[in-house]
Amino acid sequence: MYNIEKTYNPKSINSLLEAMEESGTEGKIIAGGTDVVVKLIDGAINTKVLIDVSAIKEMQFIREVEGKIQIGAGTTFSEIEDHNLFEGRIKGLKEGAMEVGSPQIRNAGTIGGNICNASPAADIVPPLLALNAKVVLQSKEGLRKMNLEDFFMGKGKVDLAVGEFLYYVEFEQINHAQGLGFEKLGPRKALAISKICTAVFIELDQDLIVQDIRIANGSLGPNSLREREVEKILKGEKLTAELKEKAQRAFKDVINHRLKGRSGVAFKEEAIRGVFNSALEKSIKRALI
Amino acid sequence: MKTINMKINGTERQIEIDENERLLDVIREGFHLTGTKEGCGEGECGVCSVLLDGKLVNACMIMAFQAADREVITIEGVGKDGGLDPIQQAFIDTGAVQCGFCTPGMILSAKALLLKNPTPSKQEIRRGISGNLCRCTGYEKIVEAVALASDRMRNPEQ
Repeated sequence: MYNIEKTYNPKSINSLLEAMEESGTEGKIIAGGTDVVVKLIDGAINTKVLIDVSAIKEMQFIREVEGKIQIGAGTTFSEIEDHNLFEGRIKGLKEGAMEVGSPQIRNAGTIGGNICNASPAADIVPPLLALNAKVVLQSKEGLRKMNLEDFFMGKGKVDLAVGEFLYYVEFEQINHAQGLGFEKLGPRKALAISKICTAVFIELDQDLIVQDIRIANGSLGPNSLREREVEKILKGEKLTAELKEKAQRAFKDVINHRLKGRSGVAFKEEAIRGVFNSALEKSIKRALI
Repeated sequence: MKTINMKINGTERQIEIDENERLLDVIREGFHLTGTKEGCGEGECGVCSVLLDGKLVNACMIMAFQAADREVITIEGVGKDGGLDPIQQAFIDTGAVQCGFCTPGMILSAKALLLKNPTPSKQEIRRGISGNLCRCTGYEKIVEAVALASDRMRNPEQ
């Protein structure tokens, strides 16, 4: 049974930093609660101090600054889903948000929570990795920026120091000839923990040569991850049916190698072909808008 | 223990909470509003659905202290002036209630949906109630009820 002795409700980043300093290593940040409360009850989190960040307006924003999109860590999935910035070429991010849990969970759960919880199956993370997103971390010492990819340190672990929190994520706005696709495979439509979720960012030239590509997967490793071996096959090549088939086969081998000996490998190595293909086709369609 | 302020079903209240309590515990045991149910306790079933600052959430996954200075609406606060909300009436008229355990949560999900989208398609209704499980009706009558409520709210004379 958990035993919370002290709680904080900071309304600003300054009072959050004070609460974090006062509580030291004991303080655990809670935002939407959709992971933290379940983990408290299960005994997976053991803390005496909770710091609620859900009332900090300074962490709730979606904005475009000099060609970069910044999303505050306290932004909910519903807010991402409803925002008009995420239509068209970049719709893969919105699709990731729409696949999270249920309406209730999307209204409470935040992008910052989904990242910091570091679940292997976090739906919003593969699109962010495919966008080459960076995380901006804040502490009393100031801001620290790093690649989202490097922020993950294994299942449930991120590179946050004591007294440091995730302030916002940032990535470059998608340009002409670029597209972001997303596909998720889960046991049912709502409230499904992903079996596989895949995001593809692609940049094509007029001759359908792949100028740039970033592929990211969820549920196929300890955290969401980039699939550079598959990216290599596609980059610089002309998109043909043969090339796509070659990439799919390579993907199957990558997954087979990575998940060898685990249950579900026979399913996942086949399923990845279809999930990847769907995300890829969406990205291509959007790049050609 | 900690004293917080909360506006619940339109009334400003002050209540003493335990730091370990979830919003659901305070609604049921603090305010004695037992229309909000507890099912799975981990966000799968939706029977604890309430509106928090107008947004549909699971009260089992929010700590009570997080609801300080915020507004909560439960099934008891959905109707106006002692009467039923059109959604409640539509559930009765359509036969969308069988055992009734999922009904409060379903009605709050429908309420949140219709506030945001007064004319949902059948598919949008299904997505709107996708966080609520029902083990009796097969959902068909519930979807019909929400569509009926939507019609009646737009054409109150009928």
